[in-house]
Amino acid sequence: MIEFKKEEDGTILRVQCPAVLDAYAAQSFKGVAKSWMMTKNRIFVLDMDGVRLMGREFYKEAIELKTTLKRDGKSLYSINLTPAILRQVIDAGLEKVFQPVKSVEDVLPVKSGMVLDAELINPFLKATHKIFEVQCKIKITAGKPFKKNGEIVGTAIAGILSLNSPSYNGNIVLAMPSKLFFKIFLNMFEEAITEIGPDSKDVAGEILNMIYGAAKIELNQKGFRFDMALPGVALPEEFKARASAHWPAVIVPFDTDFGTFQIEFEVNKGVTHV
Amino acid sequence: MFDLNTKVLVVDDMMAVRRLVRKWLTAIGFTNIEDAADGQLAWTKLNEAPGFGLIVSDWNMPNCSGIDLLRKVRADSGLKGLPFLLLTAEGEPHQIKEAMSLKVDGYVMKPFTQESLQDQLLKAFQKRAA
Repeated sequence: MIEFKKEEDGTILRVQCPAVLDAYAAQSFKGVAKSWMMTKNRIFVLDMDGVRLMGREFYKEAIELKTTLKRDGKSLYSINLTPAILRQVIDAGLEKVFQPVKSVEDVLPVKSGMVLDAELINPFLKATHKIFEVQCKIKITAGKPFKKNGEIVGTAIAGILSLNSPSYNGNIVLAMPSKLFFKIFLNMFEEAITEIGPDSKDVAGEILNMIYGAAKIELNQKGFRFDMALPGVALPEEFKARASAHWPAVIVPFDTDFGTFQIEFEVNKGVTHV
Repeated sequence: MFDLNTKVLVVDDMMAVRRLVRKWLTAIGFTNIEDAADGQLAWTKLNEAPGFGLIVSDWNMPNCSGIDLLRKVRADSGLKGLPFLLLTAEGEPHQIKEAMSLKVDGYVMKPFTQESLQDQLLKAFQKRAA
């Protein structure tokens, strides 16, 4: 029996892989992986430090683990892959199975227990598509998420949801340019506006509220614990001035024919500047 | 079909939603529509200005939520028979179950359209007429 040493903290289960992941190791892995899956941990990290050989038999077990974890709303990542092992993973088309990252911190940009990964973000993407299609009647295309690196320019209005729930501590922000907002207003109310005022601004909050409501249903079915929240609205000056503008954030951009808007996942790390 | 002379109370903390619901209720043919920005204000209106025949309320609001308003309405001897539609982004099974236990007449999920609102209204009125 080959040993796979593990460490866990109730959120992350980190497995130290042996140097040789051959058929024999795969068999051992299969045996112990079942017990890992029974734990409460949401993130599983395969530490490949020192791994110099990985056989096809191990692929199969990794795929099996990934499939089961995904079904349960959990994630699998791998760290410390040598260039050769990384190349092997890419060539075998298994990047999505192993999800190589530089370090555990990359899957925990936030804090233990809260992870801004695809499991959390994808329900928001689906919900955003749905709300923009049905309520705003605007076609959108999601771009690649990125870590916030400076101020986002061009925001005319933002809906903001402050969350302090067991699954998320921070803000979710819907930031959009004026042209898009005017088009949404026109599509919803059949009324053209040329400025954002008290009678129109809460549309941004309501759209975010709908996105959050739809995403929350899926997230809570996966085991997250998101609570109800009331959205607020910020105009440019308030938007720039808020303390959370400096919090670490992941941004998902969306393209439309009326400009690009963003959903920002801001994380409260208890600091005002990072 | 429903009585288009019914006096309707639209309750939502978002002016945008109140406006949208009012617009669509008007398009359906309702002519007597009032609104309130939360459950507490709605409760005051219900007690001060009788004659409402339908409530369309959001769930998630400050002061008094839609589910709390529904609870109050169902517990009031004079108002308990009022048709009550929840219009909400809250659609988790336990929430729907809670609303059902309070005899909600319909549940319109956001995002919504004039058609989905009309459909739920029709179902609610048909169920009551049966």
